[in-house]
Amino acid sequence: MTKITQSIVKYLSLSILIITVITATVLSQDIVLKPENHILPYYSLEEWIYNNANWSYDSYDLNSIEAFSPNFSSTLENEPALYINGDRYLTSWLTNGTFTFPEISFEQIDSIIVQPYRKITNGEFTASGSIQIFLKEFPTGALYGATYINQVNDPGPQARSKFSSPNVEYLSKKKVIVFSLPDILGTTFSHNLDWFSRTNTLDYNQNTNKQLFDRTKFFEPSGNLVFQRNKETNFLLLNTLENSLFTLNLTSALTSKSQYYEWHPLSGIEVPASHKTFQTSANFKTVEKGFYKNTQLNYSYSSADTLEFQEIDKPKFNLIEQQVHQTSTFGFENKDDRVNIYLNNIFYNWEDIVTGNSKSLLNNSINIDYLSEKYGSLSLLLGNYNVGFEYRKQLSNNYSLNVSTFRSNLESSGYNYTFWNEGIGFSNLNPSIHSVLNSSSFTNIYSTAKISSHISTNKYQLAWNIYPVHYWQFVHTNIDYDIISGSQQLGSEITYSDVQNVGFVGFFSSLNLNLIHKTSLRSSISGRLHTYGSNEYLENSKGINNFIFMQSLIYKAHRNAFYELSFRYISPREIHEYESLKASSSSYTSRVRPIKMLNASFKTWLIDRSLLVTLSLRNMLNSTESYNTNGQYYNMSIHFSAVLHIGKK
Amino acid sequence: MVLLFLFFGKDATGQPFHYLDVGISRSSFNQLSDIYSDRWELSSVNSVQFRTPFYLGIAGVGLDFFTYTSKEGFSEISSLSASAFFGLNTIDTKSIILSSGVLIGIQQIESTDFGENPVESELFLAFTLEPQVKLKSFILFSEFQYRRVFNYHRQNLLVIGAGVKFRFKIGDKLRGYID
Repeated sequence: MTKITQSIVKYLSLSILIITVITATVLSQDIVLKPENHILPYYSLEEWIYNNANWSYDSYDLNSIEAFSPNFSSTLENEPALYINGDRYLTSWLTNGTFTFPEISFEQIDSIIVQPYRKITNGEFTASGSIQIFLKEFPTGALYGATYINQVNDPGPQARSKFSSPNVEYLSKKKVIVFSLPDILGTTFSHNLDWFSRTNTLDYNQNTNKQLFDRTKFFEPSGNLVFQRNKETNFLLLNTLENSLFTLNLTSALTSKSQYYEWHPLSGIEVPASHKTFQTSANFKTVEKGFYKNTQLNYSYSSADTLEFQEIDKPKFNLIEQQVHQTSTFGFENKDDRVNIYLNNIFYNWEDIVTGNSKSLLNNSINIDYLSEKYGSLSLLLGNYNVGFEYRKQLSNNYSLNVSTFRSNLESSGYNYTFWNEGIGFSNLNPSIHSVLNSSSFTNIYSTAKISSHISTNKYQLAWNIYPVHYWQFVHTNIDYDIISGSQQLGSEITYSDVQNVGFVGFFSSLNLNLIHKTSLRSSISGRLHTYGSNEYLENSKGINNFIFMQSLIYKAHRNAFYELSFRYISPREIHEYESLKASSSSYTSRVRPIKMLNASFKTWLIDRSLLVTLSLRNMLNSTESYNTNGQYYNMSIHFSAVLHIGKK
Repeated sequence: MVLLFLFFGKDATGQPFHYLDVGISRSSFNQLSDIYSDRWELSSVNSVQFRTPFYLGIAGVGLDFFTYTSKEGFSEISSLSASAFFGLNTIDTKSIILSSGVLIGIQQIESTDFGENPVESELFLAFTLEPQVKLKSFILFSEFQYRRVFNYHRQNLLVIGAGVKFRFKIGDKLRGYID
C-alpha cells in the first residue's frame, strides 16, 4: 500500500471515529451466553466462552487460553477480567498471558456476560474486556460430573509395529464435584480435576518436524522420554453471610497445575513447569442505601517453578507473585441520576527465588461514574496506570453508543521489559542469544467509539456492533526468533518501540433465527474490517485472525433433548515472530492456515432433569496440521460427559 | 443426521421411553483394511444392546466384546466397545421393523505389548441396518453394520450378525421418573 493510500485510509478511519462520536447513540449491547441454550463441544469452560462469544484466541493445550486482544503489550492487560457473581477472580500470573479458572459446571451457571472490548468495569479499567459469570441459586444438594474427550489417530492394535503412531490415549478427562449448603453460610464448594494432553499433530508428524516433535516430550527422572500428562486441580469455596445490615461474599480458591508446559517467550519454547495459586476475596456490601456501597478485597499468592527433570539447556525459573486488590465504592442516586465513586488500589510483588531479585508495584486510581437517564453515562478514571474517560448513551430502544479515550502507562504494569530489567524470571538465559532492546516510552494512547444495535422480535434476534479503535501512540513489540545450533531453545531478540497513528475497525454481529419445526439457526461473525498504520504495526496485526464465522443449526426436540450441528471458520493468520525461522528452515512456517470445524452435538436431561448427558463429535472435517501446537483444533474428537445432580430442585 | 431427523421429524417424534428393548447378539467381523487383516484375526463379537423410543426417533446404548489374535506372535488383545445409537424405525408394522441409524462409540483395547500406554481408546462411527421380526414381546433381529475405527491407519469393518431382543413395556409411573 502506498503512503498516499495509507494516509487516505487513516484519515477515513479517523473520520469514522469522529462522525461516530458526534452522531451516534449508546449503551453497550453485551454478549449474553446462557449455557442452557448452547451445546457446542468444548475442552474447557474458558474455551466454550471464547467460542460462543466468537472471540479470537490461541492455546497450546486448550486448557489455558490466550485471548487476542487489541493490545499485544502489557502482560497484565492481555487477558479479560473475570468476575464470579460480581467478585473479581484472578486468572493469570506474572509473564503468563494465559487465562485459567475453575471448571464451573454449566449446571451451576445462570448466564455469562462477555464484553470483548476495552472498558471500565466495576471501577477498574479492563483493557482486554471482561467476562462476568453469574451463578444460579443452587439448592441444597450435590453434583457430580465426568467428561472424557478422546482424539482420533491413535495406533490401535498397530502399536509396537512398523505401522505404529504415538498413543495419546485421551485429550482430557475431567471430574467435578459440587456441594451446596445454602443454609450454612450460603456455602457452595466445588472441586474439579482435569487431566489433559497437549496431543497436537506434531505427535503424528514427527517426520515432518523432528525438532518440534521432541520439544513436546519431556524426560522423567528415570531418563525416559514421555509424552506429557498435564493435571490441573481446582478448589472453589463460595460463602455468603447476610443480616439486616450487610452482605458479605467470600470467595476462596486454590488452583494447582502440578505438571504442564509453560510458554517461555524469550526462549521460544514450552518449559515443563508447575504452578499454584491461592486466592481469597471478600466483598462487603451494606444493605441500606447510603453513600457507602461496598468494599472488595482480593489477595492472591502464586508460585511457579520449572520441573527439576527438565532438559539441561531449558531456562529455569522459580517465581512467587503476590497481589492485593482493593476496591471501595461510594455513591448516591435519585430518580434520574446516579453517581458512583470507585477507589481502586492494586499492589503487586514479584520475587525470583533463583536470583533473589524482587519488584513491587502499586497502582492507585479513582473512577467517578455518572449515570443519567437523560444525558447518558460519563465515567472518568484517574490513576498512575490509566487515565481516561468513557461515555455511554442509549440512543434509542435499539441503538447505543460508547466512546472512550485512555492513556496507559505500561511501566506501571507487569511488563516483560520490567521483568527483564529487574532480572526476574530470566535468570538462566544466555545474553549472547537473548536480548531485549527498548526505545519506547511504554505509553499507549487510544480512542475508540462503539455503535451497538440490538433488535429482538418473535422470529429473530439481531445484534451487531462496530468499533473503530485509533491509537495515537502504541507500544510496538517485535519478537524475532533464530535457530541456535545444537540447542532446543531458540535465540530471541525483543524490541520495544513507539508507533503513532495506527488502529483498526472491529466488528461483531450475531443473528438468532427461529425456523420451522422446533429448529433455530444461530450465526455469528466477528473480526476486523480494516487495519492501518506503520509497517511494523501491520506486520504484527497479521497475527490476529481477520474474521471468525460460526453457524449453528439447533433442533430442540423437547425441553429435555437438543441436537446441534455447528460450523466454524477461522481465517488464516501470519505469526510474524516465526518469519526468520521460516527463512532459515523448512521445518518452520509462519502461516496458520484457516481452521474449518464441523461439530455435531447432542444433549439430553434424564430422570426429572437430574442427569445431563452430552455427546459430541468435534472437527468432523478432520484435517491435520503439521507445524504448531494447535492440533486439537484440527483433529476429530469425541466428547462424552454426564452430570448427576442429587438434591432439591 | 440432524437434517435426516428434520426430514422425517414429524413422524419420528414418538412417546419417549414407552418401552425398552434389551437384546443380545452374536456377529462376525469382516475386515476391509488389509493393513489390519494381514496382522490380526478378529473373534466373533458378543453384544448387548438397549434401545428405547426417544424424543426423536430411537436412541440406545450398546456394548461389544471381542478379541484380536495376532498372526505375528503378539499377545492377544481384548477389546470392549461402548456406543450410543441414534436412529429411526423406517418401517414399523405389526410384525416387521426395519431400523437404521448411526452408532457413535469408543473402542477400547488393552495389551501388555503396548508398553507405557497399555490401554488404547479410539473413536468409531458405524452405519447400521437392523431388520427385525416381532413375536409378541420377543424380537428376532439381524444386523448389518459398516464400521470405521479412527485409528491413525483407519480400520474399516463390516459387521454381520443376528440376535434376540425382549421388549419391556415401561409403565407411566416409571416413564414419568425417567423423563
